[in-house]
Amino acid sequence: MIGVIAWATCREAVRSRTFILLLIIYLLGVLMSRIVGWISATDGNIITTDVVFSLQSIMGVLVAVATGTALVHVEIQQKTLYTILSRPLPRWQFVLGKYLGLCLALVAGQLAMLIIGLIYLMLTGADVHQWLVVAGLLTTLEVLVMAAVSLCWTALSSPLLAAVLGLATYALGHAVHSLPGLVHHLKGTQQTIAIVLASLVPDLGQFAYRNEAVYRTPLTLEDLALRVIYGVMWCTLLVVITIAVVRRKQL
Amino acid sequence: MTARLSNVLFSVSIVLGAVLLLGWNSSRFLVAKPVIRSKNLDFLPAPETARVLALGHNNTLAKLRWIDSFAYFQYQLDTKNDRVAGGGQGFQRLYETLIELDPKFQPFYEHVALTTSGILGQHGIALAFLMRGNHELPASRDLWRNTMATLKTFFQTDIRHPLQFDAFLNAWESNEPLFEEKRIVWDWKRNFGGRAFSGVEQLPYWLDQLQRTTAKTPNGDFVDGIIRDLLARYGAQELSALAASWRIARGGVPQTRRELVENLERIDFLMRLPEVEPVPTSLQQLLDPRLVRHRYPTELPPYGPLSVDANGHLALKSDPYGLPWEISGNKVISAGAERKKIETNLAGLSAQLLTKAQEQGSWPETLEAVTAMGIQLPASPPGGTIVLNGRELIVRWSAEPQTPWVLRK
Repeated sequence: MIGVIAWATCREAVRSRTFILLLIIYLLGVLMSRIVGWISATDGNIITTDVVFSLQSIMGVLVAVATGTALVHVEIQQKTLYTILSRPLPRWQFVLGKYLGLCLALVAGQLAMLIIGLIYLMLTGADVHQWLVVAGLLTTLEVLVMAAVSLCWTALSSPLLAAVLGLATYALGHAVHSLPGLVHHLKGTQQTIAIVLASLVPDLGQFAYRNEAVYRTPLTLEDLALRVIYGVMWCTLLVVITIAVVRRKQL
Repeated sequence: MTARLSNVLFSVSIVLGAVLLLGWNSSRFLVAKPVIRSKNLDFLPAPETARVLALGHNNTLAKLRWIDSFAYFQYQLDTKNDRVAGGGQGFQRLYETLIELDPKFQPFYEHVALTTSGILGQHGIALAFLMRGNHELPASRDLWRNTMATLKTFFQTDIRHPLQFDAFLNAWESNEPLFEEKRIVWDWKRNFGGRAFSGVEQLPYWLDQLQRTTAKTPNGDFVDGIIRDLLARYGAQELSALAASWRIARGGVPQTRRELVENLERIDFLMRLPEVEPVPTSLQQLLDPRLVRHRYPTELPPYGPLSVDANGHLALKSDPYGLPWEISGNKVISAGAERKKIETNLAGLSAQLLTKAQEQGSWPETLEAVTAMGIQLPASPPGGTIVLNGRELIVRWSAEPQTPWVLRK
């Protein structure tokens, strides 16, 4: 049953206007990225690569937040949720199926963006290598974590608020990555509070390998595995929280 | 009107409207003239906080901020005031932030060395950034070359601290992986040391900088300008020396100790002093093979003002800007360099004009109004007229220059 829900969710997400529009915006952004390279007084290849990979992350996160927050809400609005839940289907299966379906759609979108980006970079003469692929895949994981964040916020609040909170989490998630280097400015209790609060947010900087990949800085297999495990654990935790909330929710 | 016709009209009007808007938009680009932006650094987070604000897009943000700061480069060319709000030096703070965000991007180090050292004369700051670049990018030959050139040109480390200089060269050499590449270090050392003509000591450094910039960019134009200025001063110095030799050979009195030393053998102590001090009236008079051979016993300097034409005769090149050399009293001057001086002065006055306009809330429309705002305008130079071109003070020159010297290979 999870598979059926996942597949249906994936098809629905891929067909949604938000998904397609953001992909088109990504495509336009990629085409225009070369202009940034041209006006930079360098050969522009590194700058184009940076912009292309930033676009993949930003557009991916926007798709994840926009689609993730609307997912359950649309089911409630169209009253299809009641038809599904009237069947002998545990709610956890419904939530998990929804999340997996969203993940499938996001992975498809991210892979499309990565392939388009790499082909574009190749055509413009930029240096294309395996580390860029690794960076693209880690960005995909970042997007999946953000999808789990959005799903969790949807369960806890309204779709609009969930979208705002999702984007705020994205900002915080990257900001906390730099916190270990700044926390020495705080002392005593302040430092403890900052560390505890920062620990509540997923450290999205773990997936920003794109900043190093562009210079061919290698990533060890162990480091890669740790980042993947970190991402999968956050996804699991957030989905479990969502399930717990949805199970208790009066629909 | 049928419904079908109204639909067609509606569609046509939408298409026409879209075409009109697209045409309008694109027309702005078709008639656009290049504009040099000039601005201050209005947003500059501390390096520590920049990473927090970058939200995981450190590289992209650093480069977008860098591109935006090019206008500050132009601002410095005009004002040479690098103080920024919050204290400190603008370029130093900007590049500390950019390098903190993206420490592996080589152009940051090259650009900061160029701006702090080249424009503001802050060679110590430039050297510090270059050495950080050597630390972050030890395999970058360009950065090593830049560091060594800075050490030699601005700090004379090879003379003052030869052991330290050798240690730097050894460090560079050890970071070159292949034997052939190590030879570049040795070649560089030999070439930099082998300078035959005084007055162009910095030329190899700036030619090296020029090759690493792109033509028609603020950086490229700046380095190009430095080289032309250097060559114009060198050419004027050499032609003035030939003019002195010409005068002294005709009984003129040496004006300086250097003229005396360089022309000692031309002085005929039995000759009566002429009643009127001889002065060359034409630059062609200086192309006397005996004078030239005496000054350049082995060869003509490649970047000097003289050349040999197809018939084997001495010929005078234009100045590096494509304008003629001119005799002014006992000296020879470069018309191009004089033009540049005036234009630089006016660029500074244009920056003052901007400040005054911001204070008073209006732009002047005439030169009289500019003077009334408290800006002292210089007199129009010979062959040119100072005019107010929109919001800029410029000179309209009556004579166009010929093709300037080609410096970029």
